Amino acid sequence: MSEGEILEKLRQSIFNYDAEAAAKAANEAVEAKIDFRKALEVLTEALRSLGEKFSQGEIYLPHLVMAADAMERATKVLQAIIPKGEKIGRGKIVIGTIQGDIHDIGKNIVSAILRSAGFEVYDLGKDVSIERFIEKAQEVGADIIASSALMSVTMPQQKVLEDELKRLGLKGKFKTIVGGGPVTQEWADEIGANGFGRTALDAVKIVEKLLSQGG
Amino acid sequence: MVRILDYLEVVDRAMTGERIDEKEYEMRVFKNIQEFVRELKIKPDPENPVPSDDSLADEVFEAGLMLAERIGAYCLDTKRVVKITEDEIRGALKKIPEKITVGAGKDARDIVARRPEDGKLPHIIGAGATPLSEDLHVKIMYSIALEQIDSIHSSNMYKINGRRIVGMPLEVYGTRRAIEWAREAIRRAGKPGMYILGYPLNMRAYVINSMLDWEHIRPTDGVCCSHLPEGFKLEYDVLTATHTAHEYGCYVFDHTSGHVGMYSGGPEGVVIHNVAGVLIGQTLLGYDWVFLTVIYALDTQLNDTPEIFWAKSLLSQALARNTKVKFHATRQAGSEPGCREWFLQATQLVLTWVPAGVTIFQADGRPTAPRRENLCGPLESRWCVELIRAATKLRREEANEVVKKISALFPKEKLRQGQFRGRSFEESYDTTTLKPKKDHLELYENMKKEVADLGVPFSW
Repeated sequence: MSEGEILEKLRQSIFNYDAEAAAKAANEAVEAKIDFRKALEVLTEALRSLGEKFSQGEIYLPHLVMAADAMERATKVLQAIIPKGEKIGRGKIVIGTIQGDIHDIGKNIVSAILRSAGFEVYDLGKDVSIERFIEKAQEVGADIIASSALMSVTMPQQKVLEDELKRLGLKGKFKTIVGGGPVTQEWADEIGANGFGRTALDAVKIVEKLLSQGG
Repeated sequence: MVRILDYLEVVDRAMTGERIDEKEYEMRVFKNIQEFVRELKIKPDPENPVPSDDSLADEVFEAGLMLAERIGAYCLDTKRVVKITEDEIRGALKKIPEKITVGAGKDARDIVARRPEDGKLPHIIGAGATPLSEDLHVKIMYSIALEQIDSIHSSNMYKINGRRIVGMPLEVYGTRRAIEWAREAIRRAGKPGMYILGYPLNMRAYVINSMLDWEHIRPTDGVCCSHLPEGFKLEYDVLTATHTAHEYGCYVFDHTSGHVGMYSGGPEGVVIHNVAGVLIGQTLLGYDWVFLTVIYALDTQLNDTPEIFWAKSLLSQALARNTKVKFHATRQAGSEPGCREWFLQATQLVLTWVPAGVTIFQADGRPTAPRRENLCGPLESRWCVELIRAATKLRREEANEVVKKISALFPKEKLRQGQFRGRSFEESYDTTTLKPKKDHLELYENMKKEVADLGVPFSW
């Protein structure tokens, strides 16, 4: 099978949300000694294209989740030919719904969109303690910590996260973004978050902007 | 409260059902919904935001019932599926009474099941239901309680005694104050027995249970103890609080199960998904009523499209034609009150739900996602009340035409531009006399003429 055919199989596995096919095509790419950068580019591009479709309402969150799962399966296989220390993602993001809040719809969408845009996302789920956010960010060497709050009564926990990062001297190490129903730019400014997204779709732009600004 | 399954039976099932990951449960919900959508070959009909197809309403109801049986609920604490059978669901539906009586004394009201194009008025809940500032909380609630409403929805707040509300101590404290202030407002309005629909600041059992005493939620009032979307996710906290509230004797209400763009898929899937959610809630927890919202989870500004109206109206018709479930819809739209767009979107929502058989309508000013305080007032409730009365005189086809005419003014590009900014209570009303300011009243009267010209038969 030619390189083009294998790369096309990889692309189609994402469009078909097929994790098994993604792993199989990735194995073929490894065996055919295809440059891992090309394979990753194809996967990322396919996922990004699905992200666009999602933002237009042409596909739905579960499609993005399945496609991102397929991408992860393929990437795991490709790890075998990725040189150690090689940076493969566009950035690492630790995300979760803030402590006390069990509403995770918005966070799930942001998480899927960021994954579809090629970021390495560590989704901690809902009702995530401040300590867990920080612990995970340190463990994976995150670039950004993203927190979501749906209720006005849980929003203040986003400030607790900011305060804790400052107290531990980690504010310069991790950038923070906040979102959720009652969250506003004014709130983000007030607590010292680095970015705010009104809708889930803003997340990619904000993250790209923050990462381009560097440390 | 009427339930077919004993509380302890539900607890047993939550402890012994099939154990799966939450993600697997969600994907089951999605795949089953997609299967029903394919089988029924349904898709949103933007040309008919208020559809009149009775057989479609019945088909989606039956699909929702089958979905409920297939997916069951999911207990987040035990990670187990809580299954129910078709017989149990149908048995639960048979037990629902034709009417329930809420409130006390002269302020008591019957809430009666409605059918599509029912000439009966739905029960009308006036509301804050949005964050109110401490200084104006009672005043705003009082001004709304004076309107021609049947009951009142408590409000919430960002701060209490100047402190941002966060954590159990302040959630409980704030929730209890919100109920006290609602009660103070209805007393001042001369309606002391009016039903209060209590909404806790957090859905944790300790917050909900703290509302259940004579000075706060009475047995003639109601409290929200909702499951979580997507599918029907239960927490022990909610299970506990629901049962405690039922033992206490007050009414208990639930929320919507699915949103467009999530595990429902599109608007067609959300109808089936929400029918299933309602039926699971009735069967497992014996909810007294259900608060239904249909929103586009991706971007709230796209909630006011013909496709979403179609879903709301079809959902309402499916439930009204096939059950006596008391379900509650709201006026909430993308716009803030105090602007022309608010009046138009409110008109669309009332006409979408009321001729479609909704039992309870929430007459309020709140936008879907309030981002500041005091976004409501008495004229906003009055607008909904006037519209609701007019809407009971409309056939679905007639309502459809009005909704379409207004949608033509809101192309998607315009909706995507963001929330229509309006005015808060203090910008629209004199905060001492609580009377509307001249320009707000003029806007109201002008909008009434504009909407009447579109075909809404106000009684003037």
